[in-house]
Formats: sequence, C-alpha cells, structure tokens
Amino acid sequence: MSQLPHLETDRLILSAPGAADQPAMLSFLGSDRAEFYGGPMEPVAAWHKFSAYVGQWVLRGYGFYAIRLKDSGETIGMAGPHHPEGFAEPEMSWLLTDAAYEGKGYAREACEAVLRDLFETRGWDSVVSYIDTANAASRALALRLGARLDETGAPCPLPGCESFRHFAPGRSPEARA
Amino acid sequence: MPAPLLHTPRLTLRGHVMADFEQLCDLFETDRARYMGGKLPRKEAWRWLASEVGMWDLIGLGSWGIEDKDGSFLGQIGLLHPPHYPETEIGWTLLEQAEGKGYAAEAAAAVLLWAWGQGIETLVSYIDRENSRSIALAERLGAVLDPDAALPPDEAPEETLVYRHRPDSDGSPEAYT
Repeated sequence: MSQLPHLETDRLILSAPGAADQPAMLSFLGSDRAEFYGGPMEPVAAWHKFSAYVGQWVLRGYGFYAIRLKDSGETIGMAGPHHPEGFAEPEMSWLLTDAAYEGKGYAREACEAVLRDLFETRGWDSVVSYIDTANAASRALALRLGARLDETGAPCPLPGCESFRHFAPGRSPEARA
Repeated sequence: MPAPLLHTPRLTLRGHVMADFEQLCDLFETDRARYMGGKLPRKEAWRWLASEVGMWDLIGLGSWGIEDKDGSFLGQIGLLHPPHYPETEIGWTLLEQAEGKGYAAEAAAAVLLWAWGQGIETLVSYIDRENSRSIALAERLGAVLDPDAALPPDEAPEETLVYRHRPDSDGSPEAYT
C-alpha cells in the first residue's frame, strides 16, 4: 500500500489494524460476543484470525478498519470489507468488541464512513454483507445503512446467513433502470 | 512495517503479493506439504498466509516471497513467532521446480544476516525428522541440533527436530555475502 488508510468521523478514527488493537480484538474473539465471527476461539486461533485481518490489507489493498474513539484512542471494534479465501467477493462486516460500546451509534457511524470510502473514493458499485439470521442487531443495522436482502450475488458462503447488499448512490438496480 | 526488501546475487526477497497465494495453495494441495503439517485446504491456507503477512505489522517479523531476477515466484521464507511458539523460527518452502539450485540456502543466508543485523540473538528451525533436504540445509547454514529446546505445543519430539542458528555458528557475516 502506498499510503496508510485513515478515515475520520465526528467521534471515531478508523485506520488499518495493528498491534495497538490486538488486546481488544483477541479479547473479543475469545468471548461469546464472537459467536457470529467463528468464535469464541482459543488464543492461538484468535491471534491467527486477527493477524490475517491485518495481512489482508497488504494482500488485497482493503480490509477491516480498526475503530478507535477519538477522545480516548481506545479500540472499540472493526468495520470494513473482509475477504478471506472462499468468499466470491469482499464482505462488508463490522463488530464492536465490548457490550459497553453498544447503543451509542458507533457501529453505524463507522460503517457509514467505510461505505463512503468504498463507494466514493474506491469506486465500488456495491458490497455485500453476510448476516446470520440470528444476529438481529446486525440485520437491523444493515437495513438502517440502506442495504437490502439480495440474491443477485454468489450464494452466501456462510451457513445460517443471508446476503444483504449495500449500493453506491445511484447504483442500485432501480436507480440504474 | 512492510517486509524489508532483501537482495542476493540471484534472488529478491519481498513482501507477499496475491499471486503468491495461488502458487502456495497449489503447493499445499500436493504431497510436498507433508513436512509443513499436511495438506492445507485453501481457506486455511489463506488464513495462514495472510497471518504471516500481518505479522510484519504486529511483531515486525513475518515471511517473504522469494523470486528470481526475472520475477518468477520460487517459494517462501519467514521469521515466524506466533504467540504459541517458544521462540522465533526461520522456516522455508520452495516450489518443486525451484529445488536443487541452492536457492533456499541463498535466501536463508540473506534472512539470517538481516535477523542478526536486527539484533536477534538466536533462531530455531523446526524440522520434520524425515525432511532430509531441510536438515541438510540447516546444517549447511551452520545450525546445530538443540535437543533441549522447547517445542511449540503442536509439535512432538518424536517427529520434530530443533536446529539452532546463532550469529557465530558459521562464522562472520562475511560467510553470507
């Protein structure tokens, strides 16, 4: 990458994840909160998963941003296009590492910034989110972000999940018709 | 940090790129993966490679892609220290067509020299007892068997030998030039 990714919102700083985000992320991946992210998992597996998130940036040029609070600098989650092997396309995903950060609109604020970056700066037409049918909070946020259930893409690679698709302004099927 | 660029008379060692992934996946699907923990499905290979790439940002160590001066990918070499390893390992893997030409020795010498320059005081190589090629290379590099070294928890002494590298084990840095 020629330059480090960096996005800012009113309350948040989003940047490529690094060592500073590791404690919060390993704690998250080891907890029950990671049930929709392949967890909870053992520390070694969590470390491999987190370091692969970091490495994805280098290999693909995009990836999960670490979400940090502007005021305190603490890491509160991640949001961005996750793209492991087996996914036909990058998947817009998000998480908050601790329940204490929920209900404050942080995930929405971070996702809106990431989607703007993907659509306006990077020129993507759309991006999918695979969301577990049991993950009510994420489904609600996807809808609030303007995504809709979508069957136009490749089949969802994750069991128990449905595909939601976010469209760039003017790029939804209706807008293009 | 990105992987540092290293040059030898015939090789360039550089950070991994996506094209490496396809060739490493092909390698891991063959019987040649037997000394690397067995055949590795593509999804796991992705996490493995992305993790080794991400390590550069997290711990300042990781793996390099090895290519010749024409830019052909020949294999991989890395300085690896995931959290379950008792110490840092230098490990290497070549594509079949790149073997027998001294490439692994040339790449390893450059990586050892870089490591000693970073102030690393010792490295190990975990090598399958039946992997005579890697054993020969470790010995050629001046490494010596260390029967007292701790093993990672997923390695067993009946299967895995520990070779220890030290800056003075095969003389001065001039030995690598």
